[in-house]
Amino acid sequence: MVVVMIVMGAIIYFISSISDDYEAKNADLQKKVEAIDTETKILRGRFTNIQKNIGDYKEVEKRLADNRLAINRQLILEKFNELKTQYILNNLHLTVTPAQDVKSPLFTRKNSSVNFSVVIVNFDITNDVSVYQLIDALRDVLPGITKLIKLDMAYQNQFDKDMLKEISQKGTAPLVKVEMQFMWYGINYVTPPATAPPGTPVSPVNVPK
Amino acid sequence: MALTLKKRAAKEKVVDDEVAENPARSKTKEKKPKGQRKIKARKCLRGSRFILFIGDEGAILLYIKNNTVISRQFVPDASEQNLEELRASLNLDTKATITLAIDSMDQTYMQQTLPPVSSMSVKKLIDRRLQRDFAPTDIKGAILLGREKSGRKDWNFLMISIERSRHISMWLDFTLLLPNRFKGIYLVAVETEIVVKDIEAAMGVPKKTGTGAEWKFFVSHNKVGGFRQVVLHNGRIIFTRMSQPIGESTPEVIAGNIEQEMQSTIEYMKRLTFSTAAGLDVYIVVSSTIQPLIDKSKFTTNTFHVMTPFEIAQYLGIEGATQPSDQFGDVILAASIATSPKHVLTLTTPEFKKFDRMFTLFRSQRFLGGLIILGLLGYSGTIASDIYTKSIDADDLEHNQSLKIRNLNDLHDEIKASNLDVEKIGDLMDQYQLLLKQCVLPFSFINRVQTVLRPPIVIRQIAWSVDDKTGEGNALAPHKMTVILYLRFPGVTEPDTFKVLSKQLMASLKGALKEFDIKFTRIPQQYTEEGLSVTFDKDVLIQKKGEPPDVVMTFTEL
Repeated sequence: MVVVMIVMGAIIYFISSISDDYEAKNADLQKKVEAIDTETKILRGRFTNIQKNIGDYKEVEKRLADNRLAINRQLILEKFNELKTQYILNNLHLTVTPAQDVKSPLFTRKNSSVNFSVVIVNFDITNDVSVYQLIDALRDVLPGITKLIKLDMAYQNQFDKDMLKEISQKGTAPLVKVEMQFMWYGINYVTPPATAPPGTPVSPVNVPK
Repeated sequence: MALTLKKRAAKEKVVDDEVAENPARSKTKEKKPKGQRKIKARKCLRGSRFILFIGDEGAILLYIKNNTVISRQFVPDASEQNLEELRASLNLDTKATITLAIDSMDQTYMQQTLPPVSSMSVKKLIDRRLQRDFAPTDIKGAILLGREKSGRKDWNFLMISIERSRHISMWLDFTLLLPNRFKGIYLVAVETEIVVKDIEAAMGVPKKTGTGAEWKFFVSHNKVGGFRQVVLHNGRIIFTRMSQPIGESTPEVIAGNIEQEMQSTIEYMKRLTFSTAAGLDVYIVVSSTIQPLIDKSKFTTNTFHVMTPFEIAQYLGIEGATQPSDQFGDVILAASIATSPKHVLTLTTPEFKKFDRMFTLFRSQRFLGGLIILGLLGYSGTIASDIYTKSIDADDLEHNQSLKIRNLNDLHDEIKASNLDVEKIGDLMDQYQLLLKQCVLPFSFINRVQTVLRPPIVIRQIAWSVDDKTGEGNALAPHKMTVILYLRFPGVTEPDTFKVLSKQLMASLKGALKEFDIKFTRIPQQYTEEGLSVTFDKDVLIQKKGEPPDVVMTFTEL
């Protein structure tokens, strides 16, 4: 009886190992199938998104071609010098923090990364309408994407005789004191690694639901 | 050796002459001849077994399979040579059980009564009485005969013991060392109750009590014992005797001996309330040479059967036990006891109990082993079934994988055909769109506020802000906009006027900007809604300072 038990134990051990092999194989296959599924879903979502928003696609394609997706510290100084003249910005002070990467996994992509600088601008301007125009202009003249996070406008004085006199003498008179703060985002294209075979897990992306 | 039942005797019913002529009894008398009688099949045990029939003059070993006696072997004593012969026979089938049937002289029977305790307690009382009345080495037991039908309803029981003489001990020691499983010790006299019942059942005598003779007299001429006489009253043993043949061993002398012994016993039975009116059935087992010499006219009985062992074997349906020429009843009695599924009293000894426990343990282990093997087999079956299921799953997954790869390749082909750089521009576009979604501008809010804030109210300052969580990894969390407006109310110097204006303003703002929580976060004392309770001196404050301080309103996006 003991011999029978030993033999049966050996048989069970043997067939258990076969069962385990199958289990491991199935788990591996399941993982691969899920990876292919995810890749297909992401690719399909992205393709559909591009087809639906072909305007954005063209814009990004154009910006990439013109090198207007990445942010550049030197460039913003130049651009604000231009804007200073255009919008008559008095007492202009510009602070730009060093660029740092966005850590959020939401922005992690295989082919690109996002970084940002915080820009703080202080100036005096003659009217608030110019401030709104300036904000609009920034979106066009600066590469990358600007996200305004703070706008403080203090109306200093009303138009009166003294004010008109100052304008006539100096050519300008500060009526609105402005402090503006915005996030300046840049998108950087990264050369992708060698093409992975189908089924290789990919990084999570924003898939339209 | 005799057993006396004085108490029972006092309660025996006196059967009158009319009862003696009971039609049922007459019916018994008018039995069909043997040749025409249909013998009822007797239930018997299945399997193989040995029975060792032990008497004072030797022992007989029977080997039985189902209801067939395969072999029988007589030894005159327990000498080593004889025991070796028996051992050799027993070794032929060590899986067969062994039973002892004792028909020796050294037996004691004592009828006792016990007070009317519960049926659960009576067994303990009997055990105590057995321990008290017999020697510790004796093999002992008791038969419960029932309760008195009147009075205190005392328990009647019969205590039986066998003295563990040297002769019996030798046979017990011999049996103890056998590999065969020991099943018990039976007393031939006690088991005769069942033998007689079986014979009567085979003869067709009604089983119901009261339909036959109350008294039964069974006599068997045995080789290893002598004349074994057993008297049954209402089917239960009431008296037994063992006697040896006297004088020459010719059939005539033996027949005479039997008649004489029986007459002596019947005389004794009369002391036990026996009367011929109560009815008496006699069964005698003797050889065919003695059978015709028994003179039944010497006895007043209802029925009188003188049978050969061969005839008994036929009644009991036991094959191979006897030949027509057999002289003694030992073999058929032993075979009857061995094949009977029921027994009146099973005796044992402490040594046999130990062995039995070991055997039970051993068998339990085997049973447990069998269960484990069965469990292992079941487990193996489950694993095998799992493997089969998993192999099917693996096939399905492989097929699924190839389908998915094909779909992915088709999608790549479709993208390639569309001339859109999904891989490269897709990532950039995702991020571009995400960032654009986060951009919030103050224009809309300021426009909406300006429609409500009309003269005389003047906006002194706008502090607009929106929280940003990009750096915290929560870029898609909804933005929360907060706006602080610093206002002035030129020309408003009266608290009541301010109160009216401020209420109107708040109502208008709340109507226009429902998604904001709006409140006055700072109101100069001069404009406090409870202005009446604070010092408000327009002449002093306004005229001296020129203009009142700002009223501050805060708009927080809900």
